[in-house]
Amino acid sequence: MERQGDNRRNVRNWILTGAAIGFAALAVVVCLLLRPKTGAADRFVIRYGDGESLTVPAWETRTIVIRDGKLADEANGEGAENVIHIENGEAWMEQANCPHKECVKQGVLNAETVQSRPLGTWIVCAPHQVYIEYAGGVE
Amino acid sequence: MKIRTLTRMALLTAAALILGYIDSLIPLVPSVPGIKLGLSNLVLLYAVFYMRPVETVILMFLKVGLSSLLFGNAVGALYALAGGVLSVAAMLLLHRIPHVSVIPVSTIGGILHIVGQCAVGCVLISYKPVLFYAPWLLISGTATGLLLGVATRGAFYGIERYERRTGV
Repeated sequence: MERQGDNRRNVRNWILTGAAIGFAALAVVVCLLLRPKTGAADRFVIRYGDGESLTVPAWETRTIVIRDGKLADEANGEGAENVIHIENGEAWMEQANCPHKECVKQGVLNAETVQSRPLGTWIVCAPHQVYIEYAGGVE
Repeated sequence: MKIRTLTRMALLTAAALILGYIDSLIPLVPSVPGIKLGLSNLVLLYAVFYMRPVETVILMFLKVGLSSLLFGNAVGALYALAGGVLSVAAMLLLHRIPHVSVIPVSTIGGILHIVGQCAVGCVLISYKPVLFYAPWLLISGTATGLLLGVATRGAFYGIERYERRTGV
């Protein structure tokens, strides 16, 4: 009798765990189906601050400094600062003073890397709310 | 609040902060920010099963607030808070089901933590990067939730055996 109760509890726990894993798997599939396919793009869109954005042609060579949600002339390491570099169709987060510098570790955005990067066409600095999007090549 | 409860909460908050710090030192996938083992959720799992719901919720707020103050910033706190509120609410509700084990509670908590964070991402950034980001986070959240659940079940078994032996 007690063993039957134990079995029922185990089944209930396995069903709950299985349902959770199933839900997560379904959500992963939905995200993979909905996300835009990426190809060669012609510009980088940098989003920062309170909904502001800056579009830079991919072939330009330019260093952009964003400090405390605004464009700045040069980096000085103060405030919430990100330094973005764009060159030869590539963009990367050169420098940032966010807590874990994970945006710097996200590497280079270009026509080839967007196919295999975990974050696709994006470099995200969540703590400073600075985002780089490889735009224009979305099918 | 009793001194015993207060002391236990202080100890658990300290443990959550230390585990959170250790967690931030272990990069699981360096190119995907935010993927962590979630070690500090062990403390919340303990609280869900061994403390009152209100104490668990206070502990979650303390963990999020203090870890954001010490190791993060305001935006990070928003993500952590959304994930924390959703996962703790789900874990407390699941715990009300009779004889539910810690494994499904931890797994569902891990998944809903990610769902909460993705929802904040959709509001703060846009849904587009979240579509790239979410699969990685969901896979890691499910795996770590499951692993932590299995580890916690072992710990609970030890705690219950100790309590039976000593009568504490």
